[in-house]
Amino acid sequence: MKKTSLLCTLFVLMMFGNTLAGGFQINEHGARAMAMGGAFTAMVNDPSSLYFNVAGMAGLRGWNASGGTTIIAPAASFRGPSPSITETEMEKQLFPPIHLYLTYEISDGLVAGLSVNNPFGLGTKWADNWVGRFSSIEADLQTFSIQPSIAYKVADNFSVGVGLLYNVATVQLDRAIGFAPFQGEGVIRLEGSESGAIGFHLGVAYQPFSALSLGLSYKSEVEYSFEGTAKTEGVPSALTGRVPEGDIEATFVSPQQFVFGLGYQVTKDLLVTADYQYVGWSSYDSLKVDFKNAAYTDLASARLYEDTYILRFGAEYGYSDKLDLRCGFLIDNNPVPDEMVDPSLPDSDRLGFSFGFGYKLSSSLSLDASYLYLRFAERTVTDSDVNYASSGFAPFNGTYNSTGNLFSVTFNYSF
Amino acid sequence: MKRLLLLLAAGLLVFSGCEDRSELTAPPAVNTGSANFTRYVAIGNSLTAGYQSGALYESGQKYGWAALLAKQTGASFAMPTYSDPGSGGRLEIRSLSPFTLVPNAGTGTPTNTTYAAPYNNLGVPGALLYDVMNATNAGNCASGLAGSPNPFFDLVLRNSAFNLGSQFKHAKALSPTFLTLWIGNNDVLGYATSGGTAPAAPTPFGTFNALYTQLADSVASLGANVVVANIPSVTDIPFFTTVGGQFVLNGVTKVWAVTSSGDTAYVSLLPTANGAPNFITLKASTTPPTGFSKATPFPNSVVLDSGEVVTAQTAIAQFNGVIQNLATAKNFGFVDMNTAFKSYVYFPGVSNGQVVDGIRFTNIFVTGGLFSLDGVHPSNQGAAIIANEFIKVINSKFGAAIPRINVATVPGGLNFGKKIEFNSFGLPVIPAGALDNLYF
Repeated sequence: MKKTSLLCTLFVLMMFGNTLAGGFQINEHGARAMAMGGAFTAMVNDPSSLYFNVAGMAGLRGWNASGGTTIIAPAASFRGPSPSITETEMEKQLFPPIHLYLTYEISDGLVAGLSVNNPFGLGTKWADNWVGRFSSIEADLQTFSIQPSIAYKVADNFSVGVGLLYNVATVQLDRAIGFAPFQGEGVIRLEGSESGAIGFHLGVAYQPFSALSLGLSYKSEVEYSFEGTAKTEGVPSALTGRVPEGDIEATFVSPQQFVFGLGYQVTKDLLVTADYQYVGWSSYDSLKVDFKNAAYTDLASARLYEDTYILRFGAEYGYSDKLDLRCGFLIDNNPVPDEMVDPSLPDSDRLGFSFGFGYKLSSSLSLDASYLYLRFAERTVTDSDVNYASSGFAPFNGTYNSTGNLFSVTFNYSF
Repeated sequence: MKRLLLLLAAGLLVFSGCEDRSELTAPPAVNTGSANFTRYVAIGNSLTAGYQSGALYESGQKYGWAALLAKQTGASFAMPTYSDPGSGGRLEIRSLSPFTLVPNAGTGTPTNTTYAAPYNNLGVPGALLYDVMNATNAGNCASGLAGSPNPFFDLVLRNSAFNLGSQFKHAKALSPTFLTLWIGNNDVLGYATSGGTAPAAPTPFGTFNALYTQLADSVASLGANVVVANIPSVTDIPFFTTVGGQFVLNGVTKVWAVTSSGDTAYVSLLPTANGAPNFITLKASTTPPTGFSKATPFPNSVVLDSGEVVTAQTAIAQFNGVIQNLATAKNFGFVDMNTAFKSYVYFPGVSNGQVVDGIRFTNIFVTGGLFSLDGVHPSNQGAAIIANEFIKVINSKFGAAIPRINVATVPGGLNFGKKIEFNSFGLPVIPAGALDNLYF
């Protein structure tokens, strides 16, 4: 067990503010943090602090490099639309977000860092002909985020950090379209990209006494301006020009977040941590897509997401000089109102159970590995505002069940 | 360490246990109250058959109102399906601007001819009230007796194999527990759509009264739950309102037409002294239009003059009186389709149809959404609206709770015709044998 982890001071936060939606957000940017349920804001002196609480890297010595990936395997099913209980399973996909951290101690207590990760990189995909196709067939969001940051140890027990969030993103949304009263259906694909959305993050780490460390992290809202095109397939030639197509733009403001965390050294070998993560999802009140061609009606749909919070708990046990064992637990309250849950994001409140280990391969090289199981509460929607009809409105009521399996590996190297 | 591993193992078990989701119970059977849908039979005409856009074809039949009602109640419902493009001449859209229709030159084939019992859907396109009790084949139906055999009787009744008799006899053979009867439309519609020429009058009131009374007695004797529907106004369908309506929109309020008296007259497309306009039927929707000079008037067969309109409306009012009275006397459920349909009639500045499940429906041709391309028969979604009218009555009459159909979930069905394309030699492709049996 690293005693140094006690040095922490404060904590941090979790994510970037850039999500397109709660369920698309990836909070797993380090195998050690994931093993501890993501309760990592009060942890310091780990390269991944650069993400979880930028102040936490202030104690890192020399050069540190850390990198790895998390393999995310989500699963979801929908039964409905009510009163039908016919089940449709979401198509299986694997998502491998990466995380890379590099820190350099400029002078005593002053550390610069650079991190790269995929704060979003998830998607959902359903069969082309499934019952909910007029709501969603495929949704896919890819983001790369680069965060140049700096942290400074103001006092032995107090550090601060600040950094820039520079994000590039692409988004793709596919759904079926119908032409009633005419026969047939096609697919409309909205694609967009954002080449530079900027935000910032701040962190503070404080250790009031030797066994207790506290962390506070903030990530700002980030405004994404997507530009792209709408394309259609399968439109009868007689309807050409009557179905909206062409250049589009859409704006999305990702939520700001505060995370407060604490870590407590229960014994020499046992550390426990807890985080409270507040996510300002009310920034996502509507989704608007503007067609540049004025002949087409712009699309707007309410989202009305709610501010929400996540509770995280973790423990790390120093089994030997070389081996640390970890486990964690999280309770994630989803921001999506019942009536807004749709198959592009079958979100629900989640419980997460995690465990993992860290192993020192040499004095400078260590390995972290972990597993996280996410269990989404079964969610039955009875008053949906989501439409599954090709025209007009039919509420997409039914029951969603989702789970997630996540495997993460991170290598850390000091030099 | 061992304990820890055990703990982890136990934890894993707990996680995988979570995979078992709480079971959703299957939805309870549809509550049909005192109505029993064990054997549902629908007697009627083209509306009940699911005929659309000038043809009977499978992809339209399954969205006929009776088929939709059966599906909503969970009743099994065998139909005389006809593979697409159906019984012949199905109207399809060639282009939207200008709006151009083309009949599909192909035909399908009947696909359920060996079904071993009478069909549950006994809707026969073209059936008159008289036919329900009397017609057994193409030749002895009312139109067959008048010289125009109606092959749909052979398709639906298959008497060469069954020898059961009329539509009613077929229904009786099924010992129905639930029966819908929607008949009589053609007793006015044939008169109206032919511009008052073929036949030259609606079925006489006395005849209609006697036939419907006899039919109602017979149907009542089956012991089934029965729901009947009356006849919606034929003069509000796009078949009549489209041509004149477009003329008026373009500032033309009078045209030359041959009226029922045989005279060529300059007639108004707006309401006349008797309250009714002169209608030009959809058959006259040609390019260039006739009717702009006395030398080329609209022929009588496409003109329902104001006098004929009143004749048709009077007949419908009388027939509907008969239907409603008998429904009351026999304790049948009664669907006032005439009133229901009126609420969808578009009249500029006065009424603009109704929004159903987020879609505005009017009686306007094509864009109104209610009617198929022939301007007479309902579209898929129009049929769902009709089925919902039946459901409303069944629910109140029999204490049932059959869910209404969400009309938005019913797909559009108006077909786009393919462009005519010849082969690489510039020649039409004609299947072998296709020209072997032409009549000249």
